[in-house]
Amino acid sequence: MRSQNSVLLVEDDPVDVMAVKRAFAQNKVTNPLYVVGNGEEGLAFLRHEGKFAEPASSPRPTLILMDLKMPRMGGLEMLSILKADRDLRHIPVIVLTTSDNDADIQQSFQNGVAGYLVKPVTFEKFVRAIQIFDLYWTLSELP
Amino acid sequence: MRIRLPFNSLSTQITVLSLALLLILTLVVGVIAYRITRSTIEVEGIASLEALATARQTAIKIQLENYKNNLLSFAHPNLAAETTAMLAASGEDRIRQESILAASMKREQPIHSDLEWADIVDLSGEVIISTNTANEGRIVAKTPVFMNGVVRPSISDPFIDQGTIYIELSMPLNDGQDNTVAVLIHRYNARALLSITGDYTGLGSTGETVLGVRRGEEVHFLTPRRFASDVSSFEPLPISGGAARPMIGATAGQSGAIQAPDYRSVQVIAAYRPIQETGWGIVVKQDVVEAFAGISQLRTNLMMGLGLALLAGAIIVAPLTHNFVQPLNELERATRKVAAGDLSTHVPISQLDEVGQVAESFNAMVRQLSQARDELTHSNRELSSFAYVVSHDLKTPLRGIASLSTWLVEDLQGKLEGEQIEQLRLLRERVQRMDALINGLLDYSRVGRVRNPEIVVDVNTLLVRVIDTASPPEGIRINVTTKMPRLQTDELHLTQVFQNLISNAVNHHPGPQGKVEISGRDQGDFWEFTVRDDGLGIEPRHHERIFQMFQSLQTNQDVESTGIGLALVRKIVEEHGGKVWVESQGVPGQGSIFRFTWPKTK
Repeated sequence: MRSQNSVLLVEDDPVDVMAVKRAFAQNKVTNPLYVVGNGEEGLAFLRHEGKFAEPASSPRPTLILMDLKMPRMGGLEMLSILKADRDLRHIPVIVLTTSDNDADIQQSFQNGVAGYLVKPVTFEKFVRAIQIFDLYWTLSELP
Repeated sequence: MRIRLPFNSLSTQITVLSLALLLILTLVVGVIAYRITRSTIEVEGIASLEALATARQTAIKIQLENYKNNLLSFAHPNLAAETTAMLAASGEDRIRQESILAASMKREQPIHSDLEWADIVDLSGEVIISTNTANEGRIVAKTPVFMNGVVRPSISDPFIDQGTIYIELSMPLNDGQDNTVAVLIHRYNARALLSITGDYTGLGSTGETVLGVRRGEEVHFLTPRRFASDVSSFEPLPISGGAARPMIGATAGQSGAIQAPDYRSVQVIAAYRPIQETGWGIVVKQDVVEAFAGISQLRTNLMMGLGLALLAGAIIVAPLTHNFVQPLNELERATRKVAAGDLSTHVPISQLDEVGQVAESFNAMVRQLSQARDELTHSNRELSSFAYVVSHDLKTPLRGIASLSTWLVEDLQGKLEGEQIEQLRLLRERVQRMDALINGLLDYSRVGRVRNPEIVVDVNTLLVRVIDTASPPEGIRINVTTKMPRLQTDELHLTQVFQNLISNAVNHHPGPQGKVEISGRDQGDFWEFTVRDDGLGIEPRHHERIFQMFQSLQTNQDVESTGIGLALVRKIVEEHGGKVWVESQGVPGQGSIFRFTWPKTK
């Protein structure tokens, strides 16, 4: 990924946050990573609301990594609001979840996600998955 | 007692049995009625013939009496006296007296009906005077009528002369001192007798009356027969013949009636009566067929009655049978539907008490079955989704543990001692094993919950893929030994079954050399697939256990050995209506044979 682009991670599990950070580090992904704990916070971050009122603290990300199961507002709900928002809907979203439920996958793609990654149990596999994503987004043009 | 019938249909059995019963009943009644009526008809037929015979006998006797009276009145005392005087005279006187006598006889003749002629015959047998002049001078000394007439009044048998039937009577003429001087002979045209025997009134078209006499060993007819070609021939019947029997009885002075063949060899009913005076017999007879015509009429009527009774029976029994069998058929159809899994089936309650009760019980049973099935389906679904949710939620912390242990190793690189490294390795191994267990559980819970689309699957290519994924070690060969079919079925499930069976065969093989053979056989409605290995085998006492969840025979810490594989196989196969089983004696080297059946779907 081009280094100036920032990435927003919407994830409530601190271990998973660590996993993403470590995977980024191991793959030498240097893009700034912003982390929020649920869908509500994610929307607030993107809209510069509440504690993210200061635009400098919440730059517009070029990619969103999103868990599905989160407290207060889940990923699918956030996704549907996101895609209804003219301002935000162009930002590519990659779902990063434990759920390989067919219904979740279908609903995600109907809401226009750019990718759906089921979290593997072992970290090694996860690192490899992140590596592939990074490669893809380096090659792909972003809006 | 069980009656075995060649028809299986209940309604046919009932119909046939009741019609058979009806047939037997009507037959019994019919036979009794037939026998009673037949004997009545026979008695009546014979009685009417006997009455006719008696009437004809009487008529003949009266006619003979008439002839005799004619003769006696003709031979008044004057005739005897004049004849005596004439015989005593001679010469001119005699000639004169002869002519006077002849003239008086000729005057007398027309008074006596049917009298052909009257002769006066002298004792030498020469006709002296006759009303028929041509007779005079004729010698009749040898004739029975003359010889009898010398002694007493007598009657001859009827006889034919020049085509006409006559009868002759004779009596002695005496001189007043009991000396016979001449014989008076009368010849009558026998038409009066013939009109009696020729009267067929009351005899239908086959009856007749015949007059006969016995001469030595033969019976002779004395009157023309109705069915003989030549009406005037009086043929004899040999005495031994059955046809002569009634006449023999009659001429012996007996009366009676018998069934016997007649001169035409036709069976007849013959009533016979004697005519004692002349030694004749009279037989009144009629063909059995006509005499007992009522019997064949009766038979026809009874047959028709029987037919009508059966028809009426069939008309009544058929709807009754239908009423009776219809609810049973409905019940049978309903049972079939329930067996096919349609638990919404409802049987209409029949009007018949017993069948209605069965139907009610059946409906109640189906209701309960349906309820139980709904409950079972519900709890199964709940269990499945429970398993799914649980295993899913188990994965999140598991992943955390996995990641954290990895990072510990990474971050403490070079600071850990040998034992600690080993402990961390064991920790991560357990994590992977738990992951495999959870995946197995997820697969298992998915089988009943998720319906995969049915597509055309070429089992040959499916197996190539599965074998490729199994990636067996160097020494183990996997072969497909038969040509596999193309099936319209759930590809994922069939793949999972083969995958588990083949990976079991490979993973549990002691190695280093071994082979796994896969074959398939068409069994009609389903295919039977076989996975055979030459590994350690499984003792029969474990055959049931291995298909249960978490029942592994080895304490194998290998990731692949979760104890879910065969349970999953069984669940998938049974979900598709098949069966799975193992054949093995637990002898190392002989291995195990896993077979499962997979129904063909259209």
